[in-house]
Amino acid sequence: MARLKEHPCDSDWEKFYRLYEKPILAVATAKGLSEADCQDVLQETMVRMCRHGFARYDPTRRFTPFLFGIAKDCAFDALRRRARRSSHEVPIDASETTSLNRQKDSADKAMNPAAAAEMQGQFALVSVALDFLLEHEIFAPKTVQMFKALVFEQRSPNDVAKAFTTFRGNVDQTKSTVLRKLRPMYDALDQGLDLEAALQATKRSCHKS
Amino acid sequence: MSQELNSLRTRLSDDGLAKIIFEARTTIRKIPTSSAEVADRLSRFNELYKALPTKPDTAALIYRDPVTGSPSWSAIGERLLVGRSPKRLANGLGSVLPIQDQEMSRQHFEIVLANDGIYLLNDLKSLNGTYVDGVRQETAVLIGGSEIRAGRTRFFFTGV
Repeated sequence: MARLKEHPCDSDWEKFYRLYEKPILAVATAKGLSEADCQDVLQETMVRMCRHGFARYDPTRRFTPFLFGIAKDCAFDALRRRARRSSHEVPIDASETTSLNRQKDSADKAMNPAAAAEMQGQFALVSVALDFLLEHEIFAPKTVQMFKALVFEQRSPNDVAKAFTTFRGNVDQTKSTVLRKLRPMYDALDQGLDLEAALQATKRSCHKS
Repeated sequence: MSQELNSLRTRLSDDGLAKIIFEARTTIRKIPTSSAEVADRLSRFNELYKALPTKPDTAALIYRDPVTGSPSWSAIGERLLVGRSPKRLANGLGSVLPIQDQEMSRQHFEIVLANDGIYLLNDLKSLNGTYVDGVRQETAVLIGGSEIRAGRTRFFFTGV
């Protein structure tokens, strides 16, 4: 982030793009935009970050609320543009207007739209952090398979232990191991560190513990 | 759930965190994948923006001068008329951006700031047309990073 503050459109910028594209798209999706509009929001958010964002970001504060704030502004602008294109009024918060938003769960509907968008962005960030950990082969293949069975497929610990011919305690240990590494990873991403830096932070954290 | 996410930074139980991960997987499945066109366009935008000796602090068109190849920009203001030899309006409003590109019409396109704060591009019946993000357009709403091609010259709209 410090490098991007000095040279906002340099090669580090591509890392930044890869890291945050999905969370930004998640924020746009939560605002009820079409797929094409979501791509516009991604493009415009990245351009705003490049032009002003890195310079204006205060590194003593969390990064992702700042980034998602820009994405939400861009989503708002996209709604205005859509209103102009269709030449008739649409609600400022178009939460009910697209099929994607109809899929939102009841918890989202009870939440104000800005908070719901923020939450979707944070969910995507958790997912990015976990995918990165799993892809970088920090864990043994069996650990990854057990974790996926337990968390992604929501199978019971006893069922997973049976399927992998191991003890229930090992299943719990597997879950705990992956999550222990995910926490500092997510924290680092939330602070705006790039993937490699986040991974280093994760390793340091694990060594300490 | 949002409370749980905030407390992820402190100490959330493994079960709570596992629940968030499951929700996150659902979220990821719903969102579209990012378009390669957007990534490529942003890459071109950044390359040009980075090369600018001074950066615009307002909505502007950035481009490479077709004669010298040097990166440059022009502020848009209320209205900007672009072409080989664009004529300023009689009332003096707006500004002009002459480009030495033989494939451009004398008055090729204009960008106007609408009352609602949206920037609109209008092709001025140019011979070779105006392309926005690769599609020939007579009128288009611009967003930050929109790529405009007129003649051999490429411009990017910086957004506000």
